[in-house]
Amino acid sequence: MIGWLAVAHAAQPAPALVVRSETAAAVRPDALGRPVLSMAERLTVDAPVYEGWRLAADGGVREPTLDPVRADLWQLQLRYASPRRRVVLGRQHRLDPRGFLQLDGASAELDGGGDWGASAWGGRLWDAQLWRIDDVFVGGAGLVHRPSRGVRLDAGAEVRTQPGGIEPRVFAAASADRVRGDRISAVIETSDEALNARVDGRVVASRRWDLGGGVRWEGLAPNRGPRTPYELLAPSGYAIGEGRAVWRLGRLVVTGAAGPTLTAAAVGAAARTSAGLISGGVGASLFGRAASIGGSSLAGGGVELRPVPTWVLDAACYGLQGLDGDAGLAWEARARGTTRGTGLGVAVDAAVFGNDTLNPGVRAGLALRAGTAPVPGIGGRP
Amino acid sequence: MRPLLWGLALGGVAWAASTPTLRTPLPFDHGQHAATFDRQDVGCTTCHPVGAAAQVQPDPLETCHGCHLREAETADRRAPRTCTTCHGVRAELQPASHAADWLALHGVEARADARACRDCHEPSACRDCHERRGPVVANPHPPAFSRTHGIEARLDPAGCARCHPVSVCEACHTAGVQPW
Repeated sequence: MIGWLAVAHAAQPAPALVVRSETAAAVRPDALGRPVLSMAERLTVDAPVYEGWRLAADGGVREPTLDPVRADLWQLQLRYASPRRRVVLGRQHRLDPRGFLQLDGASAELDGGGDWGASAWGGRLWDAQLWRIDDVFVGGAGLVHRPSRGVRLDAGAEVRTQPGGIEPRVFAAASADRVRGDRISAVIETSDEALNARVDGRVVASRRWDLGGGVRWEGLAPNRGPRTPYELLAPSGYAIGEGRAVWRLGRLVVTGAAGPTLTAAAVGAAARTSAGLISGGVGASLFGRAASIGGSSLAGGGVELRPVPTWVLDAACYGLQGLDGDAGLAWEARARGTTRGTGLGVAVDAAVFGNDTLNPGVRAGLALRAGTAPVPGIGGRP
Repeated sequence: MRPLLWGLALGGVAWAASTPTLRTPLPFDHGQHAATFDRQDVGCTTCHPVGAAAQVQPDPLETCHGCHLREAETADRRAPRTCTTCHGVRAELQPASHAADWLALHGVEARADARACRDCHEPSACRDCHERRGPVVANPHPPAFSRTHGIEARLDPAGCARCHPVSVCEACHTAGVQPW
């Protein structure tokens, strides 16, 4: 209710003020297949406070949920942004060549106006899905150099203090783009015990063909405070690679990608392909996927329709071979979308599904949205 | 009826085979900008360099976008910041990289230069998929992921870890509800 009142107030002439409210309800099955009524309220506020400074908050409550948290606070920050400077104080997601850093603290970026820039950050890590995590404090600084258009070099150092001790990390990254679309990027991050490294590239080979690929070594625990699936499934690190090709004929785009995964416990591989006619966010595509690792595998595909840019209808069916050796089938058909523009809108998320571990089920949800700025759409191609 | 169907089919093939192009040049009203440029001491050569400087074309990030970009909060507040003010059809702005398979690839490019993303997307655009939770969500996973995620997770566990702590796995798997 508070959110809707805030939107009504913000709808008065104050175009720089962004307020969004979303009230959602859905019926969906729990892990045992029993229907559960799920509700959520989310409020987002982004308000100018003084000459380039803005105050932003984004949070919500929901019940019940798979996560142990019933309330979320994704953002509560005071920030300043200009073409050359950016300062954020408070809860934030900081993105750098290594990925997201979820920080309760402060960060600053300074663009020197020429070839050089600098950044610094410090604070405590947080997690959106856990209120309580071990205290991990982070402080770091980085430099950016752009020796020519399209070329960017990053380097930085970071120190983490956590219950086990102090962990220093250093990282370096380089990327180069050509206007026609060629691109190469590389990142390396290392602590005193392990490292992450990644190289990825794309070449516009001809008017019709793009070729690309990349390899990664994931040896450092992810850039977060709490334990993650990484520590559970590949604590000693793993290598993953992928080769990619895109073929275009007008609005018809055909893609293919495949690559291996090498872990200490298993060898795997995955491949995906798609063929789509999409223009301006509207169109249709077919997709397929196959993957296998350590005795389990999947293969299948589906179709995706986008009648308007903010609506997606998709369906897929996969044949599965589980670790227990049993074969099964998993399928799902979904309809998701939202009305466009500001003001009052609705979002819909509905699905029917079935697989060999759950009875066929139905999920359906409706959200009422109001805002002084457009609400992001629902999307996602596999 | 048959000619109509043939016409529709041929029209569809022609549409599919045609390549969308950006509408250039972009509209620019010098008169509308004169007072602002005078006030901010922006001269003709800022956009129309002469002499040796003419070899380097001005970067839109430094000229138009300096005021018209969403990020430019300290610039002239009267500058409209909607993309379609200048670019006509918003869909035409979509970079070539945002084609099929982009969802799987966008992370690499976003990490390499987050500023490029912010040219078009609000900072909250990342959060709306990566952190959003609720019953009606911008779910980035493909259909049937609830059953296929085990294989995907073992192929690339760091991919899961970008959003999820291990407690999300344990919520179902250690309660005896679903086997690992």
